[in-house]
Amino acid sequence: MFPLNMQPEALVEELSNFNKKIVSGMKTMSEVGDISEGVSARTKVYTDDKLTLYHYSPLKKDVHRVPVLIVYALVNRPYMADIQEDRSLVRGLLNEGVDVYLIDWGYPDASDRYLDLDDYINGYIDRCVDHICETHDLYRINLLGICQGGSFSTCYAALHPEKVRNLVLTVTPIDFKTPDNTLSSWAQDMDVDLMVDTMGNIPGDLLNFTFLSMNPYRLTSQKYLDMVELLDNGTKLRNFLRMEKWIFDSPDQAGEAFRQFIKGFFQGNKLINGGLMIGDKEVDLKNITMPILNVYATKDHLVPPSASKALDGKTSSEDYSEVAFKGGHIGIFVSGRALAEVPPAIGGWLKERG
Amino acid sequence: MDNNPFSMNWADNWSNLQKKMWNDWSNLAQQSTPNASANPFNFFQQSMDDSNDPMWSAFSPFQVKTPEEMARQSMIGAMNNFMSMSKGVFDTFGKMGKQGESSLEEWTAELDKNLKSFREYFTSGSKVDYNSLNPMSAWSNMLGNAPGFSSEMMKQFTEQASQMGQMPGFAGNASAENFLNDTLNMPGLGLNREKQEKLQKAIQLGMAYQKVMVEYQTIMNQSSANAAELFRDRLVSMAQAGDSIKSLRDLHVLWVDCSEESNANTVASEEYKEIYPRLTKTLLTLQNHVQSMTDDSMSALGMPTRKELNSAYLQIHDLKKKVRKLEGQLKNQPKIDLESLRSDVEELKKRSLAAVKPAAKTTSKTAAKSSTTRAASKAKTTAARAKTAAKPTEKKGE
Repeated sequence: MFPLNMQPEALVEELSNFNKKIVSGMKTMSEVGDISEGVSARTKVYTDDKLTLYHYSPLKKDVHRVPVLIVYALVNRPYMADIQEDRSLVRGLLNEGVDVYLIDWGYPDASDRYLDLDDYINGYIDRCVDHICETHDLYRINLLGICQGGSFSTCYAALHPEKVRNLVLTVTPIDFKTPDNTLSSWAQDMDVDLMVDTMGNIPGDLLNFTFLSMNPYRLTSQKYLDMVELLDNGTKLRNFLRMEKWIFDSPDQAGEAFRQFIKGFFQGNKLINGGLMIGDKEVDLKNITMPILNVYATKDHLVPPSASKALDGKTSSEDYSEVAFKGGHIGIFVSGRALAEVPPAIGGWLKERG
Repeated sequence: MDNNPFSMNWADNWSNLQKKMWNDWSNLAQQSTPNASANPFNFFQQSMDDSNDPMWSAFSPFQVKTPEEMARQSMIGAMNNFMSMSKGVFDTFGKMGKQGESSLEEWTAELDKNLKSFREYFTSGSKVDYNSLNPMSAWSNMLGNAPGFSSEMMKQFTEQASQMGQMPGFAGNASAENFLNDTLNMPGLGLNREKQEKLQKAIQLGMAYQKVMVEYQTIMNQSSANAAELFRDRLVSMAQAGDSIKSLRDLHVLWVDCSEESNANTVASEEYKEIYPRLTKTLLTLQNHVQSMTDDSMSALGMPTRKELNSAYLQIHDLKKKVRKLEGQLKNQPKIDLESLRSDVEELKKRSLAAVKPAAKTTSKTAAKSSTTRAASKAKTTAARAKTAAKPTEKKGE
């Protein structure tokens, strides 16, 4: 049997419908208007160089007394955690009665190229934690790290365990050399010294394109064909464009921090194997004694589950839990199912631990 | 209309119709779209762009700025890929006779016969630049699009190296390559010897980059060829199972699936893991060298160089770090109640003065000492109070 059973009339109709959708969709696109960066009400409570610390307005009267500080990755922008009304980790947590703070790293420029991991972890994160502790008259707060921000939070928890009450990690790489980690395999022999010495800051678009290159045909071609199907629906199109904006809104990476991250985490795999120095202190996972909730995505192509689950047994915490979400690296925050599963799981876990 | 849906005439007509529609739409859109500022995603646009294609030329005035514009641009790229792929399919399968008239064996034999042209279509002969979607393309675009003088120099040296590589008798000729390398290794002479040597080095680095790029491109072309093989196998499997594809869209999805699978295998291979860092290294080495040449030029023009700026940034960073450290130390210092200390000092002064007044000559030194001691003791107590006040208070709950 001939496997291409296409009738000329059907093809003409298919192409005709396709063209109609595109033409009418262009009108919808021109009417979309501004795409917002986050949807929940928030207040700027602290700034430090280009960093801004936001505090989200609670949605419940009974707010949990220990706030959560969300530490996002340096790659892409943190509003992914609050991308739209019905796709917001932040809103989900607020609905659970969690008091939420979030670090927005801003956009590093050439003058920030010498910022290193010590500046980020022992500097920026620590000062944000101090600010929240002072505001709430607390010794310790909860940390919630996302992706690379989770790795940073893990380091922080190991270096400053007295300031972290509970540690929540989402899609966080801990073991950077699991065999299923494509991104890591690309980074292993990269001459990062030459890269940083040549480029200074690492262009965000370069990293972004590298991520897209893991599924180049699907993410740069098929996706836009699929978008045609959304063109006649303003709401769906707006949601698509929100995600599109987030994907391509990629800050440059401070050169020294990038160098240290690639060498120490990806190439040396020192977070899990030991020997990772942040400033003049070594990150020892055994210093982590507080309860840990490790949330990972089973279909994560950027941070494979094995990279996250490796934390189990590596700390001194006697209260370690995992949540497996059936989805991908981004889907864990933006899919409808994720919203129904992830924030309640985190909120409930935190409440149980006071 | 020809009864054969894969008729080449039909496909050409359809393609022309599509282009006309796009051109018309583009003209309309141009009238309503103001010129936008610099496009931060040029590499993306360039990967899709084809200046020889009238359809793309018509869209060239667009500068991506907002997410909607970018999505529109990307969608147009995807449309173009879709159309090209569809036409490739028509071109190939149109040569294979009318559907339903051949047995599976005959059809498979025909497919294999035509696979060569089909494969070429998706590797080198196509306007669909799928190879530009690979990471290396992003690297070179990122460096090539860097603003300023160095990007022009980069282009110049890579083009120069490329031209040398294509000289008659040079391509693939090791001795010719060695001869050129030896020539470029010759030391410079005279006043401009340093500059000359740097130029020679730049050309050598450009050649090294081009050489590895060819190796890399060969691997990626093989990946595309493998995708075509996969595509063929899937079609044959479908035919054997009695399944069929009924729409162009499904055909495109199948093609994307095959391409992704082939790409995943390629990037996971040892060969790729070896060449990817090697290629980025040759490219970055060239860029690094060109950057130093740019610095020389900037210096000659009396302009600040990258090196000088980096030095200034480093100093600022180190100073900020020291300030932060001092701030931290100060923050942890006990707070001193200066007012109390001042009043204590004043009290001490008064008592000391009183102690040395002639009228008080009879006053024993012991009394003065005692008074001084009391004042000092008071000062000490004040300081201790201040220290206590600076200690963290008991916090709520935590």
